[in-house]
Amino acid sequence: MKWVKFNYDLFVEATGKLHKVGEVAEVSNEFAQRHGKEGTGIVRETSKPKIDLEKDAEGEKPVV
Amino acid sequence: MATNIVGGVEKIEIGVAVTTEAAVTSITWTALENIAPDTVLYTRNSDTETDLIPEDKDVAILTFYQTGEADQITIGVIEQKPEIMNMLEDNEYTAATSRTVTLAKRKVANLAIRLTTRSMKDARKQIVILPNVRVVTTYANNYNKTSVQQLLLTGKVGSFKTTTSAKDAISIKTWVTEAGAPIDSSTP
Repeated sequence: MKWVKFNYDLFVEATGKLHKVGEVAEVSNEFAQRHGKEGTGIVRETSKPKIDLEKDAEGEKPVV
Repeated sequence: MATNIVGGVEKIEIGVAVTTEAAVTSITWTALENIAPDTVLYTRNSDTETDLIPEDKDVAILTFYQTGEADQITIGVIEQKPEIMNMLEDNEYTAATSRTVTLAKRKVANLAIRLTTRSMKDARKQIVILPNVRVVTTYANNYNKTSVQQLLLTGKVGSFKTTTSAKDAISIKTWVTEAGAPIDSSTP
């Protein structure tokens, strides 16, 4: 799994989710590769964002 | 599962033709505004077939296929903007006086055309890019009180080279959301 930041909006049909530009999400390696620098260029790799403890306790799941 | 229905015209843009897929991103697009109703048509010409029927038989032993004519796109435009006219016709234009002299020498305009359809269903639309089209322009309609003169663009769709395989191609079609965001339709 990798953390990525969206350079552009992207609608993912499999999940039905519209990712907005600037959004940071944890995605599969395959997704990161498909849309990364060598792929469509829609995302770029980033580091895990700082999540507040309350949110972290809820156990965020990867979106893709 | 979303459906893929194509119809309607949201906008049409034109630019200078390119002959490679990579160069498509560098095209500067100019909008063709005020498209005449019911005038946009893409015609995919089919190959011609010739049957070889042996003299002693009543059924073809072979069918020869010959490549048909190039695909064609026609677009009617109500507005006659000088900037657009200069791309289509052999003109000498003086912006300071909004004066156009149309030269006798005919022009075949080498244009790239980008057509964005309307969203017909499931909040998605299609963007069709024809990077290399040879366009001739004619006029339609009389000067009268109840209609306006229209430009009629008739384009023969030419080819361009793809980036990854260097093959000949004629168009690029991309599905996007209503707002224009790309769609990842990969299967997980």
